[in-house]
This record gives sequence, C-alpha cells and structure tokens, in this order.
Amino acid sequence: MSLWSKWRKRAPWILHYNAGSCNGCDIEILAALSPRYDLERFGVLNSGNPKQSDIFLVTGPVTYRSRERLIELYMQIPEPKVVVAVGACTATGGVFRGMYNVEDGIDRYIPVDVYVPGCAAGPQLIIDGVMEAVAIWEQKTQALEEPFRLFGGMGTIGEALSRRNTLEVKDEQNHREP
Amino acid sequence: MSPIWLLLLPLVAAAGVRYGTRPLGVIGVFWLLSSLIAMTLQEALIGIHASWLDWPIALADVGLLLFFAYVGRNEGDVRVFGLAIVQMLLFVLIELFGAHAEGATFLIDDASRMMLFIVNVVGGAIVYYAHAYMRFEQGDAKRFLIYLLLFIAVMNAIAMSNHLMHFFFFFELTTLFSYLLIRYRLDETAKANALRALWMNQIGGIALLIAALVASSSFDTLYLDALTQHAGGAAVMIAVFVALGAMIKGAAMPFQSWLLGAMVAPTPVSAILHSATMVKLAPFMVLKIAALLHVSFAGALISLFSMAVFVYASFLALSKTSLKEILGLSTIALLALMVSLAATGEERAREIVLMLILFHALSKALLFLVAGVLEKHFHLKDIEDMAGLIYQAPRSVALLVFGFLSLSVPPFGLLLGKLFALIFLAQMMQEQSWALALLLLAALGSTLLALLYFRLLSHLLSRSGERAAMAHETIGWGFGVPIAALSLLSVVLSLGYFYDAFGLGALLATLALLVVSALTLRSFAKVERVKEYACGERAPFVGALAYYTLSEAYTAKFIQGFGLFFGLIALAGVLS
Amino acid sequence: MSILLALLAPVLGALVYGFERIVRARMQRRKGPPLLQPFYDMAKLLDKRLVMVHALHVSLGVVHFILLWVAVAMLFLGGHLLLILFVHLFALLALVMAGYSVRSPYSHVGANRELLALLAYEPVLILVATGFYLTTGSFYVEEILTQSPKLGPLWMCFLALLLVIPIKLKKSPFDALEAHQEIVGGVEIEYSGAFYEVLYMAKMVEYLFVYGLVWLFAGDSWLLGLVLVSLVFLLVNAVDNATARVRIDHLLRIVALGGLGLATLNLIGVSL
Ligand code: SF4
Repeated sequence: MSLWSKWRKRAPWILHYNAGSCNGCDIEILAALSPRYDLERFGVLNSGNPKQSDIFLVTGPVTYRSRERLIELYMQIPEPKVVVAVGACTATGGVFRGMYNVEDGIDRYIPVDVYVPGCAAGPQLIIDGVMEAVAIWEQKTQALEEPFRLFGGMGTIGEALSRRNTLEVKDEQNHREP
Repeated sequence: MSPIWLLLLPLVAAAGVRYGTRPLGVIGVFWLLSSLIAMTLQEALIGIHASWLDWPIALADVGLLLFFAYVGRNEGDVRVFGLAIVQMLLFVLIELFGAHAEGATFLIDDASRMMLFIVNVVGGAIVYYAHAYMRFEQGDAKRFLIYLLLFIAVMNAIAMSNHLMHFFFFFELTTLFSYLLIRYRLDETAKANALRALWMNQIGGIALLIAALVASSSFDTLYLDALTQHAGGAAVMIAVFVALGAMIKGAAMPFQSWLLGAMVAPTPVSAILHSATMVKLAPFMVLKIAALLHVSFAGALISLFSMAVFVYASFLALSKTSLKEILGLSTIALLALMVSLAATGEERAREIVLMLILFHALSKALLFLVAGVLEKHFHLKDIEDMAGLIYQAPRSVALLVFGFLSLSVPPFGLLLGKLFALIFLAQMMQEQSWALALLLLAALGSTLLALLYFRLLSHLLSRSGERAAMAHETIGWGFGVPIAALSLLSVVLSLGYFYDAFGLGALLATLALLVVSALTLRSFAKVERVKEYACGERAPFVGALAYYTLSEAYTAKFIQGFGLFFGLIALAGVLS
Repeated sequence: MSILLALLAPVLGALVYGFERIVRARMQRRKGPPLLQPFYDMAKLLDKRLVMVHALHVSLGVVHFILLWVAVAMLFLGGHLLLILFVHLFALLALVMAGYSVRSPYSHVGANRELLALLAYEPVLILVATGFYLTTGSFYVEEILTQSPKLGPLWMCFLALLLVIPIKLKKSPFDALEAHQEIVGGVEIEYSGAFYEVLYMAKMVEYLFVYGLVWLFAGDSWLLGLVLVSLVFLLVNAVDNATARVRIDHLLRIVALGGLGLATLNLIGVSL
C-alpha cells in the first residue's frame, strides 16, 4: 500500500445537515466534536460546506420541506462521499414515523452507508459511525478507481496503473462479483 | 526640432480637417509628427524669447474676457458675468502696474516636457479616437475635431509658456474650450454643466491674476523662472495663488462638481480630454512654483489639503455607479495626490509627480476610451449593468481589466509612483515630522483606491458557470489603434521605469511572475462545472455590489469643510 | 538557507499550522490531530473529484497563492518591506476578485469583508513598515535584520501589529472574514478538492508571512526572535480560544482606530 493511500483517508471532513430532527442528535454530534470526545483527533473537521466535505452526517426523518435541500446538498458533495444517518428517526422515521409531514428515513432519497442507532445516538456511537464511514469511504474510492480493471486482458495493465494493488481488496472484489 | 512646431502643427491639422477630404489621415499624420517632436525634445532647459507676443496676447485676453462676460449675460448667469468683470478689473490693474523685466517667453523644463509628451501622444490618440467616435454622434463632427485640435495647441502653449500672463491667457483658453466641449450637445444638462465648469474655472483664473498682480507689484517681473528665484512672503503668496488656481483646474474637493459635470456631458471625448490631459495642469502648475512652497506653512497646508482630497475623493468614488463618474473621481483623487506631493517643494518629489502624471494620463485615457466603446457598442454606462460583461464583450472587458491593472499593479508605473511616494514621505518624515499626516492619508487613500478598482474589476468578471458561446465583438480600427497605442506605451514605459528603479533582476522576476500568473488562466475544460452553494436552495443569487457612503448631511459637511480649508489656504497665502 | 526557506514555504507553513492545531487542542485539554494533519488533508483533497464553478474563479485562487508565496519569499530573502506589503495586498485582492466572481451570497459577503478588513489593516502595516524605516534607516528586510532589536522604540507598532494578526490568521475575535458558522468560510466557499488545497496552502503561507513580520522586531537577535514569535503564537491562540467573534464593523473600528492610533503615536514619538 502506497504512502498515498495510507494518508488519503485521514481527513474526513463533515457536512452536518438537520433534515427535520428534534435536535437531540445534532447536540450529540456537536458533543462528539467538543473537547471531551474530540473527534478532531481523527482529522475530522466540521466544514459546513458540501463542496469541501466527505462525510454527510444527516439527522432527522426528512420533512417534506427538507427533501430538496437534502438531495441538493448530497449532490454538491464531490465524489467520493459517504452518508451517515445519525439517530433512529433518520434511519426509519423513529418517533416521527408515519406522521403527516415526514418521510420515514433518509434512505428513501439518498443512499445511506452507515446507520447510527439511538434516540439520541450517543457521541461514542457517532464517533464509531464516522470511523466506519471512513472505512467505507476508502472502499468507495477504490471502487471509483475500478475502471482501470475493465477489459479482462487489460487487467494487468490496469493493475499497474491503479493505485490499488493490495491483496485484501482484490479478494473482496472477487467475492463481490457474481 | 523646434518645439514651436508643436504650436503650429495642431493649427495646420485643424485647417487640414476643415478643408481636406481625409480628416483621419490628417489626424494620423499630426499625431505621429507631434508625438515624435514631443518625444525628441532636448533634455536641457530651452528658452525662447518672443516678447513681441505680449501685446497680441494681452489684446486676445481682453477679447476672451469680454466673451466670457457676454456668455454670462447671454446665458443669464450672474456668476460668470460677475467673475468676468472681476477678472477684467484685475487684468487692467496688472497692465497698469506693468512688469518691466525681460525673460524667456517659452521655457521648456522637465515638467513641460512631460506635459508636452502627454498632450501630444495621449491627446493625439484621443483626437484619432474621436474621429471614429463622432460617427455615432449627431452634429458637426468636423467642428468637434477642430475644437479638439485647437485645444491641443492651447495645451502645448500652456505647457511651454513662462510668462504668468500668457499662462493666464492659455489657462482661460482651456477653460473656454472645456466650456465649448461640454456644451457641445446643447441640451439642458450640457449647458448647465458647461456654465458651472466655466465659472469655477474662472475663479481659478482670478487666483492666477492675483498671483500676477502680486508678482508685478512686488518683483516687477511676470516670468515664472525669475519668480522662483525669489523668496519671502510675497513669493509664497504668488505660489499659493497659482496653486489655488491649479487645484480648481484639478477639480479639488469643493470644486469637484465641474469635472464630474463634464463626465455627465454626453460627449465622452471631452471627458477623456479633461480627465487625461487638461486636469494635469494642476500638478504641472504646482510643480512650476513648487520651489517657492518648500518648507513653508502655506505649502504644508496645500499638501495636507490635497492629501485629504485624495482620501475623500477615493472614498466618494466607492458610492458611485456610473463608470465615467468613478473614473472622474479617481482622477480627482490621483491629481490631488500629485498636487500634494508637488506642493512639498522637495526635489525628490518632482520626479515622482512627473511619473505619476505620465502613467496616470496613459491609463486613464485608455480606460476612458474603452468606456466610450462600451457606451457606443453596448449602451452601458452603469457598472451595475456590467456584471458578467466578460461574456458579451470579452475584448473590451479585457482592455478595461488591463486599464485598471495598469493603475494598480506592479510592474506598472502608477503603482511604482505610489510606492515611491510612500517612501518619499517616509524620508521626508525624518526631517519634518508633520509629513506623518501625509503618509497616513496617503496610505489610507491608496488602499481605498485599490479597493475601488478591484471592486469594480471583480464586478465585471462576476458570473455563474460558463456559457459555451462567447459573443464575438469587434472593436474596429478607429477605436482600436489609439487604444492599442496607449496600452503599448503604458507597458513599455512601465517596464522601463521599473528597470530603472529596481534593475534587471527584479524586472525579470516580475515578468516571470506575471507569466506564471497568466499561465494559471486556463480553461480547465476537463473539470466539471457545478452551481454555487446556497444552503441547498436553488434560488438564483443576483450579485450586487457593495457601496460605501456617508449620509447626505455628512457629505455636505465634508464638502463645506474642504471649502473652509481652501479658504484657509488662501488666507495663509495672503498672510505670508 | 533563506532560499531554501522561501522555496519550502508551503511545507513549513503546513508544519506550523499542524503544530498550531495541536496547541489549540491542548489549550482546550484535547488531544488534537497529528502534526502532519495538513498533509493528510492535502492527500485527501487531491483525491477528491474535481469540480469548479468557473475557470477564472479557480485561476484567481491560484494567483492568490502564488503571489502570497512570492511575498513570503521576498520577506525571507530580505526584500523591500513596502514592496512586500504591496505584493501581499495584491495577493489578497486576487482572492477578493475570486470571491466576487461567483454568484454566491456567502462568497460575496466574505469578499466584501475581506476588502473592509484590508482597508483597516493595510494602512497599519504601511505605518509599521515606516516605523522600521525611521528606526533603521532602511525599508529592506535584509538591513533591518542586521540591526539591533527595534522592539523597544517600536513597541506601539508591535501592539498595532498584534491587533492585525488575528485578522490575517482568521482567529477570534477578528475572524468575521471567514466566520465558518455564519458565512461558511466566505471567499473560500466555492473551492473544493485540489483547488481548495491551493487556498489551504495559501492560508498556511500566510502564517509564515505574519510571524515573519513579528520576527522583524527582533532585528539581529535570534533569541529574541524566537521568544517573540512563540509568545505571539501562544497569545494569538489563547485569545482565539477565549474570545467570541466581533462584528465586521466593530472589527473595522477597533483595528482602524486602535491600530492606526498606536502606530501613529509611535511614529510621532520616533520622528520627534
Ligand atoms: S433520533 Fe431521536 S434524538 Fe435523534 S434526532 Fe431523531 S428524534 Fe431526535
């Protein structure tokens, strides 16, 4: 594994969006960033700007009014990106499930990679979720680099060109293919 | 070549335009020839004795003053009429006193050479441009061109003259021409603005007359070079009144409205002439008598006043939306800077002022020419309408950007001039600590101006995303030639100046830096374009400019304050 | 040596920045990110997909970085102080133009604030430079660094510079230009990926610029220079941790009146 790929996932910057949550999980997210839990020690920054973010931390069940914003924000994060749904209501609608003005969970609109349970989700769990997201982020990056491996016979060349040439990942790839 | 040719050539050209069939050719030849002469004038002081001119000029003067009085009566303007009468009285007094010393009628020193260079090179470019421009205007184009050419002749004369009364005569002639040029369109505003320009400049004329009166009564000479040899109270008083006249010509603060009025007038060519050449008389005249102001209280007052005008005019420009008005105010500001430096009377300031005069004339003329193109081709006057203009008019905008950069970025001369001005003021502080006030104001003013230029520039470039097709605009030879000539000159001279100041190494480094910066201007065709971030909203944002202004009451107070200060300078002059 | 420093300015700046993040974290009793975090950030940013609003916007950002680098290089190589300030000014103006060149309200507000702040501190910096000239007789950094420390006669200029530093480094209480929670970074908002990295590096180079100016007060004394820089470093971060943001108009007033007042008083004192 090159130095590059070792280094490249150590700076997950976060975009935090409240899609109609009760604010409980938002407070917990901020707590995770606070000195006590110090999420910054993993290089995390709360950037607040989709264009400079990698991890999309969403809370809330998606109210009707927040749908478009949610999608717009998701679209504005440049690839590779990961979505973390924080809190029960974000995953399934939680306490808001079935209400007249909400969708039940954000995965109706955007693909979610990590679900963090809890109502509210605790800071430790959130940190865990973010770390999980970082792992998925690395996988996604590798998947993005996959086009190098197209065209069967060209595979070897692709192998050489690709930044990804570790065994584990290859195995995992074979596993995924039908 | 004798500099007298510079007086004759415009007259010949005017005749050529009047009776010839190819005005553009005549103007082109005139432009080339007079530029050549102006560029090759000898270094040394040249004096030309022609005292036989005194009487004809005095006679013409009487005629001119009578004409002003007639204009005042005809247009029903008491001020013009009254001021003309006052001038007449003063004039008679001076002629009664009479000055008997002999001297050189025309004298060419370094300041005159710079002035002649500007008038002929830049002025010539403007006349050339005017020919193309006048096709868009109604009215008698030939007459207009002839005015311009005569105007250049007068400017050449004033740059060379050494006799205070000749100086006054030509000064009043420039006033007359600006009056005629501003009212060229003959609509209501044009007439009103022309009258205002007239009476305000008449006050300047009176200041000159007072100076002449003092000169002839106390020193018995009206020759400027002789006057600068004297010292003492009367000499300072002369200098102060010449400087006051100069500052009115330079549209310093209480009198700013005449130059701004000239901008509003529908014929931008006159605005160009005013802004780029005629108002340069202000620093030029102060330079002529600067030696008298050296280390004097009145000189210090003038410096401070002008520096304050520099700051205030720059600030005022931040609240304007019309491109020409902004250019006009920034002209006033920079003129005030030059006057302020010149009025310190230091030898070191002289060269800086000359350089500022030169580069300011080149850049401002260029900007006005492009503004004229925008006005004629795209009907744009207001900077608010120019947002994202780079799409419709990439070439004009590129030129505008170039013009603004040449006013504010190294290695262009104007910035170097400002830099040296700051250094000079710091040096001056070591001897005279009040120069700190000048330094403070200069630092403030130059920051304000940078702010002004870049705020404007950024507005031109503002856009969202990129559209594939850019409009193709053609500027045309009539506009293109003078614009190209001025741009080229400003680049070449700036590089020369920079080389002179910092040496080859620094020049090459700066050029390399420019090239590297230019290399970053790429199209990035392979990168995807996205919309701006707007909190997830899709509502379009229409970019607006921020304006900074004082409330009406404060503005009025400031102007009054400048008026008082102006009076104070006159008082200091009388008392010294 | 100084050439090497000038060439490595972005790397050096990144180290300073990484160190600063640790110090700030320790002040809040946190662990903080590793020292090399800015490089990790770089690796990440370079790995992101490139998007931009329009080409000019990006180009101006790059010009901003280059000019800033040049300004710092000139400072290290002993250039003319006023010229350095001018180059620095143009670097910032390029950024302002970039900020205005996109149609984003945050970017515009940020650019506008950047301009206002420039207006407040640029005269102060010019006066500080003049202070050096009056005490050492030269505008050249080279020359200033061969003379005895000028902290004594210029202590008020030093205080004025202290007022300016938080603006330059985007630190509380004078971080209204960037104001992450309010205008999402201001001018830098529309940059992403590798293009943001350029701006990020520019920020780090700015650290060197500011601390370089602080170093000037120590003249030829390395020891005093080190002490001054580290004290200012700690002070700025402590203040950053302990204060809230002031509004831009207050910032303008405080810096323009306070900074200019102090510097002017000092210059009067020096020139008398
Ligand atoms: S999961 Fe619970 S605490 Fe969290 S936002 Fe939803 S409702 Fe609030």
